Amino acid sequence: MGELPQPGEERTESVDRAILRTENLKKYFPSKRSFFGQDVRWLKAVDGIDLELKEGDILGIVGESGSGKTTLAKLIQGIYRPTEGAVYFKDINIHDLPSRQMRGLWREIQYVYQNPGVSFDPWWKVERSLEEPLKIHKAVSKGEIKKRVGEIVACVGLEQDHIYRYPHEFSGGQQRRLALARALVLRPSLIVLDEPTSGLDVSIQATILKLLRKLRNEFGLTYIFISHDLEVVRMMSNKIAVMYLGAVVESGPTESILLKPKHHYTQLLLAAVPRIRPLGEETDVFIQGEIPDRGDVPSGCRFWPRCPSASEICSKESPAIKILEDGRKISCHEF
Amino acid sequence: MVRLLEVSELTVHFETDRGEVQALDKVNLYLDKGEVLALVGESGSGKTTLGRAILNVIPFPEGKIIEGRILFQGRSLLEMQEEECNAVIRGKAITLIPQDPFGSANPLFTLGTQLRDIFKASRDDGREMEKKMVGLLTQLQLPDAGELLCKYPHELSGGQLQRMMIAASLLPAPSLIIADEPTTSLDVTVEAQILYLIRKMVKERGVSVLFITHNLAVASKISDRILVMYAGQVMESSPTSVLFSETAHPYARKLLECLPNPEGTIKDIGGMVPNLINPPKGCRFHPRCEEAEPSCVSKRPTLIQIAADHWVSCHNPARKGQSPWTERS
Repeated sequence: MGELPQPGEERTESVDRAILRTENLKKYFPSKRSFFGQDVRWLKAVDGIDLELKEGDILGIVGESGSGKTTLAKLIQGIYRPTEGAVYFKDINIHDLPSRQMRGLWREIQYVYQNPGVSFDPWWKVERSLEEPLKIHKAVSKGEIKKRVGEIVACVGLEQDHIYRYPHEFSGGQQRRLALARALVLRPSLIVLDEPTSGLDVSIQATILKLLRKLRNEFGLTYIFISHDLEVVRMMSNKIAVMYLGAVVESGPTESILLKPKHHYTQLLLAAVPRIRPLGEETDVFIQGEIPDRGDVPSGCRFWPRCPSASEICSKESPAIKILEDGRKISCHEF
Repeated sequence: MVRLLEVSELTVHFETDRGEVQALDKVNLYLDKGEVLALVGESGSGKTTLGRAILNVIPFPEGKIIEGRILFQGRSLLEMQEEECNAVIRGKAITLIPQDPFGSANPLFTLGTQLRDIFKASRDDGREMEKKMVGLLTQLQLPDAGELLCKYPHELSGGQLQRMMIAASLLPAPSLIIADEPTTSLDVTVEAQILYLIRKMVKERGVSVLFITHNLAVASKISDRILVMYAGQVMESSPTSVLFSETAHPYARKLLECLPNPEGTIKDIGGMVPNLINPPKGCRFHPRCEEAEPSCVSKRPTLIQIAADHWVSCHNPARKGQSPWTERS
């Protein structure tokens, strides 16, 4: 996503190398079957997404619930097989790999689940959960497993004796740290963070964000940061993709997207974010209605039924993706 | 202004295996008619316990109200008989909007059945109430009300169900609504709609709202006054705009600094929320406070008034113009 490579620019440069690329990525789930078992209706969870991430990028993916953020993340990690399109990790199409090699790839791409409290086995001590990935992937020799776990636990700011506890004995903020530790033991290069701070208090949110920044610098990580909180995304990411009903409606550098949103959906999404209101000022500008059912995506531009300035063409033709001067990609008929 | 609710020196403890949790410690607050008071604080600061104490539904026998008084419309709620409280207060004069609408609606009954139960209990004229109910749902931007009432909770979206919950809380025509984090589980776009609706209902019906939230930005949008709580104590109470422009308590200032800001610097409070079985002596915030002095450890500060409607519980509150928020913008 973002910039196109400049003419003459070497794509093999280590700093500028694309670590992840998706091409026209689609994932449809069958939502209704006919009597004879043929799929007749499809739920278009992800519908044609092109993204590009360079090493060290932090890509923020924002959108309402039901916009397909999590499905996209699972496609990128190879948990789901795409209906169409491809995901290239370091120029390898991950869905073409045989399953054994695909598993090897999970050393490189790690996924941090939205709710760490339930993604840890409640019957296992944390130590076992943290050692398991190292054993499965045979990432380090047996003697070094304890050492690696100890290092990572220190990195995420937990005490060494915390690993002898059970997951429920940790607070919400500590559980997030644990989830990060489990992702980091394999030393991945790309981490997908699914709502890493949702449900946390602002003070704990701040410590987790600080930690994420520190870890990125220490381990040279690339993040995909999924969140519905635009303020958090603004702080963390250098690129943003705004999703609506399975498609990216606007994407590009964080600064330009959030300071000058051009797509009507981005504008309304930004207006809805609660901010400390300056004295006496009250705005009641917000998006009407709710995100439609994904089994029934509107024809033409998918946003037109909720768009304040929809015209006739919007309901008929779906807008193509255009690249504007500042490097942003937008899909709207007005541009 | 007519004083609707007055809580004074409310102290609530919970008995647990590990000791007595001092959940609320001498909490004072008041709420006028037609006013929205936001109760802001981190998890474990006692926000929800306070809401429950007002309805006198603290879990029994482990929870007990050690001392304090709750005056609602001039009557002491804690001295009221249980039957009377059920008949005129709970679900009548004081209603609740829950945090998790899916966990609060009964999945086995249609929403119509559940809403009708409310006015069956009040023994009003059914047909008139039905009309009132549909009118209310339309007001809450649920257009095809008749159809929605035949549906079960799982068939609705989070936003729709939360609107239903707001309708349920408004149906008995209460004087006070306790809204316990009503938008936490919703998208920002739906949240903005719900906040607007609550605000609108306050204006039209003159109902008062005690709005519990951990999100300062949401509090700033909805409330007339804000009460900042920490570890079961009231730290600061002031009109909403004053809290952001003349923040007096060090904790409130720290909390404001935690909010994401455009420059991208991240600050946190440092330290941990204390264990309330053994809370810190004196001011409960002193272990995390940069400005703590010996007196903060030895003596518990009381709420002092530093301006009209502006109360702070701190031995040396900041002088005016030291708000991180005004410095930033």
